[in-house]
Amino acid sequence: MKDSLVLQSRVSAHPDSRCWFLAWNPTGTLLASCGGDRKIRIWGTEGDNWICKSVLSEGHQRTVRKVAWSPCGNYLASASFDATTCIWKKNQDDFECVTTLEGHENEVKSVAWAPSGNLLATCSRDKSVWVWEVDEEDEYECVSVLNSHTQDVKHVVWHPTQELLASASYDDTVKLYQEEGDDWVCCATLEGHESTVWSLAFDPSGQRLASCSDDRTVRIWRQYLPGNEQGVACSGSDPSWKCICTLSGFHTRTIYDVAWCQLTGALATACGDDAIRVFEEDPGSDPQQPTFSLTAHLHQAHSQDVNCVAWNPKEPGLLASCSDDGEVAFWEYHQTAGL
Amino acid sequence: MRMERVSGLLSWTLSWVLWLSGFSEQGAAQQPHITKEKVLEVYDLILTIQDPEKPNTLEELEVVMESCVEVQEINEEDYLVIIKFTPTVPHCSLATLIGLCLRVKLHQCLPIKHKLEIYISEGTHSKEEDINKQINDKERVTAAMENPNLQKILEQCILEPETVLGANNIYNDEEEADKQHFSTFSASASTSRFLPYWSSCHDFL
Repeated sequence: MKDSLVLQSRVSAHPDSRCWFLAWNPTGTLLASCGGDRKIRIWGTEGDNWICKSVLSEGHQRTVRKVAWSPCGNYLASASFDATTCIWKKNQDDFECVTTLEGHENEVKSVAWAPSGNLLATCSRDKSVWVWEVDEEDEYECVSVLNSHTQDVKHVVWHPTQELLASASYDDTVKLYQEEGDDWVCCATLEGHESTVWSLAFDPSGQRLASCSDDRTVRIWRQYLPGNEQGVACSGSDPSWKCICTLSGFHTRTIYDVAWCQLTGALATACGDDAIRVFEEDPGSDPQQPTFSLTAHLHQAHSQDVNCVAWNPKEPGLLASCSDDGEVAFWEYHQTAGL
Repeated sequence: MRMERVSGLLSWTLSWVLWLSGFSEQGAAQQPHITKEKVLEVYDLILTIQDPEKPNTLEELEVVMESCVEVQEINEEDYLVIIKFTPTVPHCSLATLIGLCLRVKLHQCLPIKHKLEIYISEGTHSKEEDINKQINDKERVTAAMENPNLQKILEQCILEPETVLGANNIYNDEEEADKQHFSTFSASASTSRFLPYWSSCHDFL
């Protein structure tokens, strides 16, 4: 297990500061990092090394908490504690801030682009989730303000294929939203975590959702459509979500991030105990009650809390992580050969 | 000769066994010794923190005591520090502010590798669960700390009295010492001037 996650490279991405989040571009050639130094850095390879290709500063007045690439790869959105979201347009190695989205009352905690590229979601400590529409002229318009959560909303993520949005909150719940007619509505609330839910990740099919929490567990939820074979009750035409697996006893502190590899199905976690862990579903396990095994556990992956883990979308096994120590690390994960 | 050798061997074995049991006792005793040392290291840093409202330190007001600090060794040279403080008043904002002061002071000054948990001691506040959750959420704490008004207040609370007075704190006589002492009090009394800044926008954390 010790040899399954091997360090490839380490860079001091945000010196004397925290690195909060990472995002790979859709082609997997660039990695964006953001941090407490209010900067965004874009990393690319030059031979065997990862080098900083661009620095995006002057965009935000406070910590940049998350970044997200558009599906076309030409835009980068950044969410900041200064209550704004910047949209950067990429022109070769240069990035220009083309729009600043305002409206949240306080810190923006997350931003995510829908797979269609026409919708953007943001969330904030003001307890709301906003849905924005983008048109061909790069004009952004807020089409919905969702006030379903009762506390700080930590993370938003879109379903890989449907226009279904998920949010994670300090109120210990996960909520799902979809468009009904002209309005966006909350169509499901997932309860079960005993403390703040920090992050979410859909599996490659979009049928399952992983959530990670301050309660030191990862929960896997499955969507059941009305009329499903398993007899899971649904209300009306809304799908129902049920917790089908809980990974507990593995993490010793808050789990800040979870990432589901879209190529291999491996699940990685970023934990406040400075470790990175990888889990894989046991082959042949019941899809309605899957079991996952810990296949990699890297103690001291960083010298402080690990805040984010991100699988490269094109290169199987390439994992990036970042930490409160300001560093970004690149890892190679070797899957256990057959069980 | 043979007898001597046997008795020599016997006494050697006996002393080896005694040494072993002494070592394991010492080993067991070493753990609490190291921990006690760390507890004092942590406590020394927090006892001088000024209360945000009153011109006294947290120790003087019994908001913190040596017994409220717990240190556990998680790994070699890696510790879990747990502090349970007792706010003097049930006012939420002040309790939260004390929690922040503790966090910031240790983050800045505690050199050992550690994870920190801060709690209000059980039964001393009606909203203790809410406050505990906030002060242990590092994202919320970081965001609050970016507020310049809050930074000013925390700085005043955390500054050591010597730094308030200046570098030279060797007094020639008691009267001089008293004068210096008073100026410390007046400096800390001024922190209450800052309270309106953040009390009015109580949504700082």
